[in-house]
Amino acid sequence: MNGLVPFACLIGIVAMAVALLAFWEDGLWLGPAAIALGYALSLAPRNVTLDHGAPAVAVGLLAAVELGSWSLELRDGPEERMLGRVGLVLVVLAAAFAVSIVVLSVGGVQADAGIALFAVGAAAALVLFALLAGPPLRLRR
Amino acid sequence: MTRFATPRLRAALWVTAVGVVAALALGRPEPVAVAAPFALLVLIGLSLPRSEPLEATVRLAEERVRQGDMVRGELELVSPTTSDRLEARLVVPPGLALEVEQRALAVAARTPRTLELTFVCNRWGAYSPGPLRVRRYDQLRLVADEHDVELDARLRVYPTREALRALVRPLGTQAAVGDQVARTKGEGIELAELRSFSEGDDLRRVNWRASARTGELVVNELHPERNTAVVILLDTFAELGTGRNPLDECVRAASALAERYLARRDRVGLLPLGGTMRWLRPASGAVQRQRIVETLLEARPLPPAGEGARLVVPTRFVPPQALVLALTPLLEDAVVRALLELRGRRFDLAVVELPPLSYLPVEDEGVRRLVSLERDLLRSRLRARGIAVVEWAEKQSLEVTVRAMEEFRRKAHVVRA
Repeated sequence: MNGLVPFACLIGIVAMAVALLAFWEDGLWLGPAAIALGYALSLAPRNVTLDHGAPAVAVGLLAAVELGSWSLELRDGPEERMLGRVGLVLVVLAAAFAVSIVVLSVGGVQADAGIALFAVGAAAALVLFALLAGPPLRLRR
Repeated sequence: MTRFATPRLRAALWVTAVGVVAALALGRPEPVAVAAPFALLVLIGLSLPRSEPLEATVRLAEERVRQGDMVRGELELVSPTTSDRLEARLVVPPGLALEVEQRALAVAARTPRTLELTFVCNRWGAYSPGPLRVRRYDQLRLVADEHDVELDARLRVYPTREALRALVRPLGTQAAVGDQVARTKGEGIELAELRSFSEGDDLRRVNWRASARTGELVVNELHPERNTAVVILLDTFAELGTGRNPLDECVRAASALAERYLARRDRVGLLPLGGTMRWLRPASGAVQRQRIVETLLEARPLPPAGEGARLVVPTRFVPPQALVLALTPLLEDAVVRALLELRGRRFDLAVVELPPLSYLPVEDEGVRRLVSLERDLLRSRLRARGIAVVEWAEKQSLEVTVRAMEEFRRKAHVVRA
């Protein structure tokens, strides 16, 4: 398991780098997803205590996605309202940090989740995968 | 209108999916804490309503220009919603180019936004710039709506003006007054010959000097000035699959010749071989000039007609005594057959040949020689049937070619005589 963590993170970093250098749009989701997977794998050992750095990881990943996709957009023409865009990115990152802290605080409470909550989580995962494969979210041309 | 997920939304979906699955598998909250902001973005992205199409109009400073000119214009955009980033790309047909094809701009709702455009007219033709491809992002750049806006602008690019002074003179003339000295005798300016006075001759035509020398009344016989009829035959089977094609030169030459003939009050018609272009009966005047040029703009290179294909040449469009001036690379057997058929009907035919080797990148010297020999053979075959064929060599002006044609016809005439 220990060997998988750096491997997943390396794949993520390489995918992001290729995405930015070669305008490969798929790299923008493959990179963050691989890094998120690597982070999750690093938590696999049962003896690890609650990681309070999770919000920072969330903000880091989101910043990578935001700035990466912005960089790809600039290929199609420069931004007219640069300051507004910077402000928007900062607001999104701050909101992401806040949401992540709230979720971590709620999830950190020791409670018996039970089969119902597990089912809700599994259903959410299925919905997400259906969305990924569905027609309304085709990748832009 | 098509809606697309931006790379940002797709990344959010994947990170959320990985986070949820990992949290379920590990039974830990941290992956969900990482995925939660992304999940929120996914929810926002999916709940965004579709925006209405954008309105766009193009205004051009000029609608009729010459090849090589630049045309300034304006593109006005009115968006029903505010967008921080709207990418607009005006699709222009081949032959036309835009200095800046794509722009990214911010638009406010219902507020017109005007962009400056500069078209570069690289090739003659009738163009309709557009459509305008618009990609409009939402505020968080999660989804983009793409749609095409049709524009109603029209731009007509005429071939470059070719300076032409020489012309191929038809052997016969028509009945109306023009600039060409007819072979017949009648009222005119050009002296044809002197003859003895006969009863009924106009006294104003008596040549007094000649009469004094000869001791009898001598009158001038004159050639009248008449107009001629010229039918330009345009070979549109000129698609060679290379960047350049002979049709461009054919159209340029046809335009210049028509303009020059019409300037001297001749009647000019246009018969395109192949395609869907309309045939124009010979006529004179500025309206005919405009008609010919407008028809030439519709010319499109056609793929080969194939073996055994037969072209219909509407000979009823060709008046007696008219010169049929063909502009062709002589590549199609069907065209060659049509020319031979015209000659067979005793039409005065002249062929300006655009040698295809000038347009085809043939490197092999042996192949070039073989093709040249074949071309020589074809030219000889046509000349043997009384058709004047002159090559319009690469980088040679039309003026030189026309003069060569005139010279060729003059010498051929002497030999026949």
